[in-house]
Amino acid sequence: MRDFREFVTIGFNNLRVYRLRSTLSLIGIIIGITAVVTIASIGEGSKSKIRKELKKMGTELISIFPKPVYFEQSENYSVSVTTDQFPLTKNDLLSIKKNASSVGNITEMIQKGHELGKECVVVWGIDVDFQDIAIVNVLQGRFINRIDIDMRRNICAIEMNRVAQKALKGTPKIGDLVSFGNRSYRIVGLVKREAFWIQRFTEMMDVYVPISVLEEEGSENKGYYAKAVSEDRLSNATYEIETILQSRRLGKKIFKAQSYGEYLKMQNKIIRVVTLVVGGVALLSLLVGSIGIMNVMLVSVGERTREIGIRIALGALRSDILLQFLIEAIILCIAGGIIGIIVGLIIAWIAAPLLQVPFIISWIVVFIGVTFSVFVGILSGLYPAFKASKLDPIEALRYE
Amino acid sequence: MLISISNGWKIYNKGPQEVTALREIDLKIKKGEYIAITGPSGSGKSTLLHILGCLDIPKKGEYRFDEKRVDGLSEREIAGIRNKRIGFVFQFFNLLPRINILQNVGVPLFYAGEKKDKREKWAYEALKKVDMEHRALHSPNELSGGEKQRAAIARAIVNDPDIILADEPTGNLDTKTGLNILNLFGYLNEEGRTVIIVSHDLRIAKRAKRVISLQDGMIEKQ
Ligand SMILES: Nc1ncnc2c1ncn2[C@@H]1O[C@H](COP(=O)(O)OP(=O)(O)O)[C@@H](O)[C@H]1O
Ligand SMILES: [Mg+2]
Repeated sequence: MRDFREFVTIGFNNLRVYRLRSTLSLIGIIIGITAVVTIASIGEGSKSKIRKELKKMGTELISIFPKPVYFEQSENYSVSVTTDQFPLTKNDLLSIKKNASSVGNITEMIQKGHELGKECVVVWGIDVDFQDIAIVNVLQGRFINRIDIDMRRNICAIEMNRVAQKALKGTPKIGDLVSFGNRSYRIVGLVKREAFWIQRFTEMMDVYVPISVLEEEGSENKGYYAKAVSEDRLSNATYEIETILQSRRLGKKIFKAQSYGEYLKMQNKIIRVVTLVVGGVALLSLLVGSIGIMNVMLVSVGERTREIGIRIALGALRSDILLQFLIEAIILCIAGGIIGIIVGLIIAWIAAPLLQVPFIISWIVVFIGVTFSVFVGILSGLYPAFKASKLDPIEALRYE
Repeated sequence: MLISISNGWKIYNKGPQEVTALREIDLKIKKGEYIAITGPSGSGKSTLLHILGCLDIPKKGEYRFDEKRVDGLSEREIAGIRNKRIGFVFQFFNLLPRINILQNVGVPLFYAGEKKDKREKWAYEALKKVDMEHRALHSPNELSGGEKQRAAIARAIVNDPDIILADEPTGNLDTKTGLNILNLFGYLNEEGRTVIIVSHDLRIAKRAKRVISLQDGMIEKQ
């Protein structure tokens, strides 16, 4: 058995002797690995961002709305405004509940925008199923129940976040009164919901009230929200909802069911396409880099012809010669790879905040960098090493 | 019989003209012999030595090493013979330039599969044998010609081979240093090793127990 460490030592030795040439030959590899590591890191970052956001929004959630007619833009939010020409009815809801097997639950709600101090407040008129679909956790007091809705009680539950604290000047007390528009509500609970439907650009305060209370004021912005039985049935569920509503509207496609999980997955796809394009460029520079390495290795084999002859005379196998040059090329590429990984991570670290993704050093990224450099090393070292191993020792020993 | 060649031919046909470097070579060598191969430049001495050292194979005829036909051996077996049975010494020393003397002497041990500590220990022993241990950590280009050749001899004997092949080992040395090196070969022969030296140095021919003289690729009849 060979003492393989010796091949590595020989390799390092030669690279040290030809320091300048080795470094120059590495530039291509460094650029390539840098690009690979940068995109791998940014890709990982955006994936983790999407995963987190999916969790926050609730991956199995679906919103159902009439196709928007126009968008209303205000300073802080934009709302799609739809006609009330074909409103969804309780019967639509029941039909979906009965016939759509992939739909776990469905509920209707009304949203109204208000202001409290300087903060935006969204008042949600909700039905009983809301708690299940949005996964509402009660922190204090209780949530809105069927009796509240049936009795049209002027009560509310408050979503606890920074904005609520600010608007109410501290943590609100159960039993206090708060007013939105021209109505006052008694606070019965402080809650935190797990699933959000809407990607908000600014934080807002959310207040939940019985849907019946807002219905009295007219049904503007009535929305329907559903939940698939599981994440993988999501597209089935949206399809089922759309077909049921279409058949109930004489075949007209008035309503659209959309899941945010799918929306985010689409974003993910876009990132993947970008990754592929940049990855292609990276591969190209790796290819160019490997040609550079191959060239240097060929020169090295030529210069060391005599050494090869001597080694064979002293008992080296052809495979020893092959391995020696191959390992040398791999060491060269790993050296370039390590530099590339470091530079790539630095670039990713700078770029991540600009692209609004978290900066992640994952082992996968480092692994990809090292694997690529070993691969390029083998790719570029194989031919020169093979050539070296095929030298005739007699000719090699005569070589001046 | 350690070595036997019968009707050995070597023809080079790489260049524009065919060169017959060896023809009708019949040679038998017994264990422990001390042989000098002489002859004018271009007479085929090096070619013959390369064949004896299993670096080359005759085009025609038959070469047996230890009664086995060399052209029937595998690459691994031939490399094993070069590594363990034969020690090569060259005219231009052929030390590897980028490693120190100790590492140079250890190269055959590396191809024999020995670990680093053993390589260093045995290489140092071999250097002691040729009075070169004080130069162990020097780089080859810091050594004089005679010292280089001593180091090369240490490398040739580090695996304790039973045959030493030397191609004009004194050709690049002054008379006095050359004599020193010749004494070393004499000593190695006294240890029981078969020593075959290519040279036109008359002193070698005098010391050797047998002289083979080549002329135009043929062995001259005595
Ligand atoms: N690799 C080779 N290719 C072509 N001709 C060669 C080769 N090696 C040796 N020769 C020729 O073979 C003949 C013998 O060479 P060589 O054995 O080196 O002689 P010597 O060592 O006695 O000087 C010479 O004519 C030389 O030119
Ligand atoms: Mg010669």
